[in-house]
Amino acid sequence: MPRALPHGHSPILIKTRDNGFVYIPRAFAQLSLFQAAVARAARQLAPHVVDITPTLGNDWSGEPAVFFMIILADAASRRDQLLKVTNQVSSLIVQQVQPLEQWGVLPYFDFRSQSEQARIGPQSLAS
Amino acid sequence: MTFADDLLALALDIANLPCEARRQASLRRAVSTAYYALFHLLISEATLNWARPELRPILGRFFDHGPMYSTSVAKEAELNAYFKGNPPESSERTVAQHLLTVSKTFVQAQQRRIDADYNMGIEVTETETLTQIESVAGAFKSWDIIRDEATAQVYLLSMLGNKDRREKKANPPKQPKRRGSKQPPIA
Repeated sequence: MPRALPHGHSPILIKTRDNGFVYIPRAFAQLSLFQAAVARAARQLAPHVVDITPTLGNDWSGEPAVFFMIILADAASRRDQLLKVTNQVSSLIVQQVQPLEQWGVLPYFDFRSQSEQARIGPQSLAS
Repeated sequence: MTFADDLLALALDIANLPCEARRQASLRRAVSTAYYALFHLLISEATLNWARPELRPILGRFFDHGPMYSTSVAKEAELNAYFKGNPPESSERTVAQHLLTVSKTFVQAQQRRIDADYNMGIEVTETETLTQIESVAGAFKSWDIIRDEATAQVYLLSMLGNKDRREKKANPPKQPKRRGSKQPPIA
């Protein structure tokens, strides 16, 4: 499902052997820079956010995407806090990192509490 | 209570099952059901504009996940750009904020639903389930505030898709597989 590139989006253009071009989202081509941008945003979200793991891939429609696995402190994942905290976290990441505008990937957010993550372990983060 | 309200209440009922009855299957059903609550809310609101009530269910069948996704992604990008300009407080800004809530919730809820239904590699947690339900409930509230606004109605109409989208659906472009790819079929 190709979409017009949003304003300010800087894809990497690569020439292919059939004289065509493919666009590689900047997040894929400059992964370490992307991860650094996410880490900077994560620091601003302490103490609510314990960890953020971004995984690059494609969403169900085939669009380049980043899947943020966000580990919340147990206090921040209380039911009466959850909507407020998850909205704040996702909004700050969208504003600070600008995944679509600056890096060419659609952001998706998954949330877990710290105690859930401790029980499940890191392997389950792989999709 | 509308069908969409019913679905949202059902998702909450499943999520509120006692701990011993709350299994992966029930959490996954709750996530999926919450998405369908929003899906059916938007379709029912769109078809309310059709003057003949008996034909509304038929019109509703013209809505599809793909065009609704595309419209919501585009709307979210448009509204994020609008808010980047730091617009002053106004009724336009309030409507835009609520429409952004609805469109971004739709995109997030749809991907969570796909993962809940097809991705067995990730455990669905209670936090993720409640995030889905609470955010869809928030989108219901936002929609209720803006449902009569022109921009909200245009958003609904755009979800029907156009000829290009229908052709793409019939002949989808081949996508290269990448590491971490999440591309199950949508049904």
